Amino acid sequence: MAKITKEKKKHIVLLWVENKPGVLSKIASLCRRRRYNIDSLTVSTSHQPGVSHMTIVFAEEGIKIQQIVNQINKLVEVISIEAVQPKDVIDKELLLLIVKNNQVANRLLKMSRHDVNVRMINTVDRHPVLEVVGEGREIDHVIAEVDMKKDVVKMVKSGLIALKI
Amino acid sequence: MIGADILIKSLLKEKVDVIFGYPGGVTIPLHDKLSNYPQIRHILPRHEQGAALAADGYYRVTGRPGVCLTTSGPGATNLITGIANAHMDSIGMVIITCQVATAVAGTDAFQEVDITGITQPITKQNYFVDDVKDLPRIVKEAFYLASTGRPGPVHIDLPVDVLKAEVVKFTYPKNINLPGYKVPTTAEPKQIQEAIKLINKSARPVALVGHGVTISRATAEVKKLIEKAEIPVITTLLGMGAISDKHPLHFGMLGMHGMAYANYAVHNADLIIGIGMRFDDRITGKIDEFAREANVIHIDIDPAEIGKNTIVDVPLLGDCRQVIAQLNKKVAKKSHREWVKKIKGWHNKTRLSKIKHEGRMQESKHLMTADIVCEIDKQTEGKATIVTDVGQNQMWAAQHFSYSKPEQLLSSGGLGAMGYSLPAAIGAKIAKPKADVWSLVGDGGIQMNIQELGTIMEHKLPIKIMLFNNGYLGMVRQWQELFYDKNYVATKLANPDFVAIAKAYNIEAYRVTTTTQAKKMIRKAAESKKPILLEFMTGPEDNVLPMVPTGNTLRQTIIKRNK
Repeated sequence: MAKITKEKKKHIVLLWVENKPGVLSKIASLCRRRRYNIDSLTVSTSHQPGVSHMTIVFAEEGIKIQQIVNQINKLVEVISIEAVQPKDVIDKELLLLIVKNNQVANRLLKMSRHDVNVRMINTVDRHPVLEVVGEGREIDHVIAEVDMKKDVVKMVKSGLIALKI
Repeated sequence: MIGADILIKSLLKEKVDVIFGYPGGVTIPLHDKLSNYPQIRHILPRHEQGAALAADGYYRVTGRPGVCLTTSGPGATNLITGIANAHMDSIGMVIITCQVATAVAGTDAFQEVDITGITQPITKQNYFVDDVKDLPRIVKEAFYLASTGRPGPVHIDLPVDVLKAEVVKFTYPKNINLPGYKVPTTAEPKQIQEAIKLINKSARPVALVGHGVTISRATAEVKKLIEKAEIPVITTLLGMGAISDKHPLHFGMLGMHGMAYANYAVHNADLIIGIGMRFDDRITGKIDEFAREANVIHIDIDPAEIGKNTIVDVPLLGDCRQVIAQLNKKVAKKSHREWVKKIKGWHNKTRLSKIKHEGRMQESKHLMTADIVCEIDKQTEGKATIVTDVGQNQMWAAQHFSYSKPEQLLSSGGLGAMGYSLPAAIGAKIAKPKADVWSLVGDGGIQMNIQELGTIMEHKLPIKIMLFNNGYLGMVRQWQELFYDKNYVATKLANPDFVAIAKAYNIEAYRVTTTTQAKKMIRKAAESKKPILLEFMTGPEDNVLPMVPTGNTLRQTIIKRNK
């Protein structure tokens, strides 16, 4: 059984924004100048034409999340914004890993269960390539399970996407 | 018809009568067309920063967005200080910069700069116009955004090929579609209820009046509230005049150079009602100790201001005028005689007329800026429009003139931009020729935009320029004296002959060294129908007092100089 690492509190913020040039840069720049550290940011088109959906995760302790929300909401292109609790959303993240050897791969493959899906999708220079899909915190568990120096060749994450339910 | 006509026709739809503009390579098609529209007056400053700051002055006295226009590259970057100033002080402004052609945009073309990238953090909104079809909509949105909600600068970057594009017909949109833009109006009734409870039970309330009261024209409503519930009023720098200084419940300005009695009142209050102000660090002093015994009600139109710097017990999100009107319907008539008496007691001990000379190092034959400001107040019967620069002159002008009307004091508050006074005075005078505009400026600040004497000369603007020459960058020198052991690095000024400079611009000018002379010359200036500059030789080491050193609490206001 994987050890559950002590979870840091994450702040998930969901936005609907007008799909206009410069919106992403405005939000990123605002976060920079007001010193809000972004843990992850994803953006894509949505079911509404001309409207994109954005998920931003802030992983700082003791930040004034309402102040962040209010500042971002001032941007004219932001149609709506909300800080949400994990229980109010469905969230997913994709992790791609090139691991050193089959031993590591097998260990991780065993972690597959109902809310986290680990698959071997390829090999590169005899290194297994794994895809892990799951909730943000499940992905964090998988990451906690590997030793970055010993087990991993490369790792990338998609950042969290979340949908309010 | 070309894009330039579309722009001008759109500006006319927005009732623009003045543009503060400076031509350059890519504005030529636009300036060319401007001559066909005599309804719009084009004022040429002598530096683009002057255009932005004049547009600022124009807004402050009219409440209508000021418009400035420049070329690409350096023309555009020269605007930045003025735009940042407008952003900090909630000034409605529409900035039009022309840009290199779209075909070469992004290639580091001659005089190309990514100006929308640069203005983005200091504007309420900005636009790069790709297609002339979008231009009328963008202009309409720009004026709407600049003047509604919390006003601010809106920037339009306009490539020269868009300006030159042939257009068959001009249609100006009727409606605005900005799904993400909300303008708060009235506060939630439940919150009003909570605020009323706090006001009714308060024994030591203080209302802090800021720029928002002027912007939303809420003077009458605020007066009604404070009179009904007998609430002492204290203003921020930009709130001065929103409630007349002569009102019996008005107890001056608070903050770093605020009145000691105002600071004491805030420090000892049990309720703070912040109205259209933002608890800036220059007024709170040490934030943890600010109004430590008080509940806080914060009325503001910008949700991001609420809870930003201080903990707020009851937020009232909305337009000051409408929110105060809501409160007025419910607030109980009340008397706070003891509390007012207490503040009056502090006032008697620490009022300016008592401590005016505390800022002098020694008996000095030099003039005192404070005395000059008092004399201007006296001779204009407190009716002048005062445009300050930044630094000591600004604080003395705020302290020693009695303001009775909103926007009678024009000052660079949040940004504290030296060089503000001359161009902003020009903007104010152009906007309201009947206003009696006095530019109060130091020997440092005037040199930051001294070229605008040319604009004053060209348009024969009867602005009264009061130059306080103490031979130092005075405010920084004061800090060096008090906190850096008189290590006067880079603050001593080698000054030119200002009177000769003014005369070179065909502006009547005099150097004033004695009090008797000062009275006579201020009289002359007050009666003058032409531009005039008076250079007052003031005490090099006079300090602005009272003062709350950075990091101290308002209770620790210094009113005496250590000699």
